[in-house]
Amino acid sequence: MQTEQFLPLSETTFYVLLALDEPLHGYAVMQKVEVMSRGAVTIGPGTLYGAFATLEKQALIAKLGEQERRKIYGLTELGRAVLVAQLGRLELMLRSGRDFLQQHSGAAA
Amino acid sequence: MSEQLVRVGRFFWAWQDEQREQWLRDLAREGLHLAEVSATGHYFRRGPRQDVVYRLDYHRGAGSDPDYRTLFEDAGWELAGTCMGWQYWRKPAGAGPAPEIFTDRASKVAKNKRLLGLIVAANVPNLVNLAVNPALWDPGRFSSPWTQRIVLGLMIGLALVSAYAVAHLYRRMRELRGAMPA
Repeated sequence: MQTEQFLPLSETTFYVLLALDEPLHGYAVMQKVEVMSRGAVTIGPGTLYGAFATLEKQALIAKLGEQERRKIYGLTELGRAVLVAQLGRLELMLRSGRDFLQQHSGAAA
Repeated sequence: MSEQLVRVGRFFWAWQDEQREQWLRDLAREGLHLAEVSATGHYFRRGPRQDVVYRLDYHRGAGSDPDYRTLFEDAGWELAGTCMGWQYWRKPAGAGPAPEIFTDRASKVAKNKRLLGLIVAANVPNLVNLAVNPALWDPGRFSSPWTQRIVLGLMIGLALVSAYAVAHLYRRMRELRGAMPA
């Protein structure tokens, strides 16, 4: 699968995909992202609405159903693969960065 | 139940959405709350003085999408009015930074792009008419030379204003994009 073309993910996209590991509707995604990021990341409704539309067009998420006028989205197989690929890349960057800091400062990074 | 709505006449260009947001917030602090927006202006209802933050979205398709409204309403926003694709959202200002509906640059760029699309599309008939309609440039077709000058003046004026709007929006988008990480 071609995950490369979607990387790197923006912060918003990353957190939305992460949240949709389980099927959720819009506002639930908003709340989950705030919890997952410990309050550091908030996604506004205008941004989220656009993100859903783009991600659905890119086939990274799909509409799974509806509940009281709220559409429920979930990750597609491609979406999950892209998320895993991004996490792998971030992990590598983090490891490389920490190694560098340890070598150059001698103190704990 | 009839209600006396107050019209506050202030003209804004399409690209002056941030000014409109600030203006509406200032009026809310004076007790004027937006009740209706139409082509003829902004109409307000008198009420208690409150610090309310207004945010404008330009999104033609979204107005009829129930999912769009529910998402904003779930997040605590109230739709104060809509007009020709503009969605006027409001939320009481709490302690801390003013609430936003767009939290990343990509979505702000997208909104400006939609607005840009509108201005360009609206201006195409005007420009095409100016360019290819020989009747406009033929003084014989007008009742007086002044009529022709006024008509041409208005059309060219409109084209210039639109060109300014397009340039302004492009500059805004470039600033937003320039600040975005690679």
